Amino acid sequence: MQSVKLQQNDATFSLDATFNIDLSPIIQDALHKGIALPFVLDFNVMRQRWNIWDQTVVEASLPYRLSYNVLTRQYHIRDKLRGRDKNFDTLEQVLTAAGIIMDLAVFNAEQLMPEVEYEAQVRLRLEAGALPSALQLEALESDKWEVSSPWYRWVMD
Amino acid sequence: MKLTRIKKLKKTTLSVIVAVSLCFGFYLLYLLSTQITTTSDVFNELPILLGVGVGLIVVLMILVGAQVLVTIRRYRAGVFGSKLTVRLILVFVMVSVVPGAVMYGISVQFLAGTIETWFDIRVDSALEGGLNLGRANLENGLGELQRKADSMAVSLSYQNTATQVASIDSLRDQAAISEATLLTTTGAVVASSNSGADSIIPLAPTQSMLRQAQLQQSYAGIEENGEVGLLLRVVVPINHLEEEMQILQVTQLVPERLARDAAMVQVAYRDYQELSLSRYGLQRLYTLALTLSLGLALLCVVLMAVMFSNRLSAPLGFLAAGTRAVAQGDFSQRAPISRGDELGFLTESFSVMTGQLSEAKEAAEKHEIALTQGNAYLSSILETLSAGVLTFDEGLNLRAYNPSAEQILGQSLEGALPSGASNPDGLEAMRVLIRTGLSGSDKSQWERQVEIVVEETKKILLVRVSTLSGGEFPGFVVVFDDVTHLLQAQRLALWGEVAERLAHEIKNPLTPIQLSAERLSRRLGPKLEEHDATMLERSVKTIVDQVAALKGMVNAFNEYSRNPDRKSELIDVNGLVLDVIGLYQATAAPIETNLASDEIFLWGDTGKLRQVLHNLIQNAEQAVFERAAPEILIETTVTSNTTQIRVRDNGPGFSDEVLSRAFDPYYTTKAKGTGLGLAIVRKIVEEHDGAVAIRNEEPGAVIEITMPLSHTIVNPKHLKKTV
Repeated sequence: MQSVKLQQNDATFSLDATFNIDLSPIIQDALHKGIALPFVLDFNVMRQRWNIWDQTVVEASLPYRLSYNVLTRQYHIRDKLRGRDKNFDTLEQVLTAAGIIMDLAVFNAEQLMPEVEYEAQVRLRLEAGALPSALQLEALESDKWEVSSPWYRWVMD
Repeated sequence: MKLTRIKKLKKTTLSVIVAVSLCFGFYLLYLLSTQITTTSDVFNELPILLGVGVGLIVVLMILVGAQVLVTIRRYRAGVFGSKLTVRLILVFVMVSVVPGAVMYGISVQFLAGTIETWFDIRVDSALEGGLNLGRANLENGLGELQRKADSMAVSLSYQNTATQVASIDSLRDQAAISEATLLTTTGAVVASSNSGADSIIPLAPTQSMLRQAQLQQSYAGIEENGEVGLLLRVVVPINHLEEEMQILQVTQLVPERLARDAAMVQVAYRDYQELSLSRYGLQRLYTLALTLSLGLALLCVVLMAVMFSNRLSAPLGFLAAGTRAVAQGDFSQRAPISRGDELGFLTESFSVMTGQLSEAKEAAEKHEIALTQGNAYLSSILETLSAGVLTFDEGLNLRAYNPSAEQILGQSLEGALPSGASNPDGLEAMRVLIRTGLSGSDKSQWERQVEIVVEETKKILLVRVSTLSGGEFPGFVVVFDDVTHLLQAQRLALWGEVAERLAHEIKNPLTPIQLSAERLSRRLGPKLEEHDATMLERSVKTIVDQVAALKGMVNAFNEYSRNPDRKSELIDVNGLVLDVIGLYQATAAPIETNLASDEIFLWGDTGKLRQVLHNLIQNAEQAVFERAAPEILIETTVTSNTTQIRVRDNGPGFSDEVLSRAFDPYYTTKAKGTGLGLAIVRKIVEEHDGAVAIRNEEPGAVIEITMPLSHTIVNPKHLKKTV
């Protein structure tokens, strides 16, 4: 996690976040063998309550895939939700690009009540459940497949 | 009832668990074999599936453990049928575990082998080669496009902007490329040419491409174009001599077929790599699934084995319990199990058998009860029978008797039974009778009259002996009656009749005799001389006196033979005795008394009892008449419910003959006696339900009267004495 910023444009709140993505050798190997890596950005807004269970007010997630074309030897980020589709020539480029999420509309202002303290949290993870099923088994057994940033929490202003 | 319901519930629960486990095992196997190869979301379901499987296995293990523990405990305790249960369980487990384990081993080996065969170095290199081939092909095309772009750039570099716009189409046509775009260094389009019919907005080069071109480097790349196609793109700088440099971008669509083939190779390569990456995971997962399924199946089999074994050996347990119960005489055991097999048949047969035994036992019991009742009836008849009954075996040992026999013989016969040692006299008399009867005739029944002495009184018995020949108990039955009283009564009745007739016959002539004598005296007296007259008168007087005496005697006869009316009142015995002896104060023999200190009361006729005392005292006086110092003693004593009045004297005593006949009427040893004194005594005493006994006792003789006491008197002092 490098930076995170929540901006209000009129009625919409949008998220800017930058992550450092570090792939283990086994995942890099899989990526270079043509296997697409499904990433998910999770964003929640929670209202703190007196008990230990906080109430989740906003729940947003952004799935996108990072892949490598063995034929063209290009890296590829495809974000169907936002129509982002970009090629990259090197791994560093594509990891940097994959770690930057800009201007992601996460919730509307009316979803939150004024003068209530909310807490936001964000993380980026590799979603093992979206891997090809044969690999899911491998991912189940081995923690080398686990790529996830910890939840980054902050209290909203 | 509750217990069986719980048992049933337990059984059902077990069955359900087994069924669920088996189903789940199969389902697990199915899921794992299908879902892994499909692209569904295994990731989320797999942990649940595995968790449930492991949970089921744990539950099954607990159940099996409990069942096995119970079975072992039963086996240790030696419960009948547990050995069979254990053996059946072992057989079931052997039968299922061995093939299961073999199948498991083969499956695991097969699985590993199969998965290994997917990954072959040749396939690997073939895919790699295919990929390289496609890549080479594309790079070839890219190199050609590069050359074309270079030549186009050279031709364009000599032209100004206007001619460039005009010539780009022809240049593109010559080079046979899809699209050519001329740009400024900032990326603005100067001219563009497209092979397509409709004009498409030209593809813009990226910033990095532009930058690369500005640095006089050309860019050549294969790019993905949309969903299907591949695009070759080359960006080259165009250097003008005096003008600013320009940038040319040419693109060429890879032929669709080539693109598709390349994509296919790519997909195959990716899939292969995917599998290759997950091969160990797959192998482990399949093995895990197999192990889980095997575990479920085996545990289910063991559980079922326990259940089946219990079910199979349950009838044995019942049979064992039933046999034990029957041995203890309980025939109520019925088989609770109804089954169609041989064991069921066996238990049912057993139930039928116990049922029949039970009925037979009931019948026997009924029979025995009837027999006992019959026996009781017979013995009660025997007991109430007034006749004495004795039975002897062939050796003349007493076998049975009734109370009347004891009463008549005046002896307890209990000791005379074969087990006892005593041998009462009466019994010996009976034996003598049987022996003489046996020797006398060969009849099976004979009758005799026997005299026996019981408690110093003679009894006459009428004895009937029957021989019991054949049957289970051969011997003799002796039935006897005490006929003493009967004979006495007969004798008395006879005497009464004789007395009456005699009285009648004698009395009839007496009056004429008397009258005749008186007339003789009256008629002849005056005519005779004084001497003769005196003699006559004396003789007549004698006649008259004797006739009167005769009359008195005859009247006494009558009196004796008549059944007199009896008055009944309470009598004070001691008072009566004192009253009677008061009349004898003047006689020669002094009468002493020794009376009971208690007052004695009995019901009776005072006059008659008074006569009894008179008779006895007179008897005693006559007995002591010749003694120098005559003594007469009257005693009264009381026992529990009788009173005794004894009259003792110091006379000569009785001879044996007198002892046996003293109470017979008209038997006398005295010259002037009527022979009725003691007979009357006995008659009166017997009328009062008493008994009289006579015996010799120092210093002379004693006559004892035993009378029953009155029980109705609560407090005799309140009664007026009758004396």
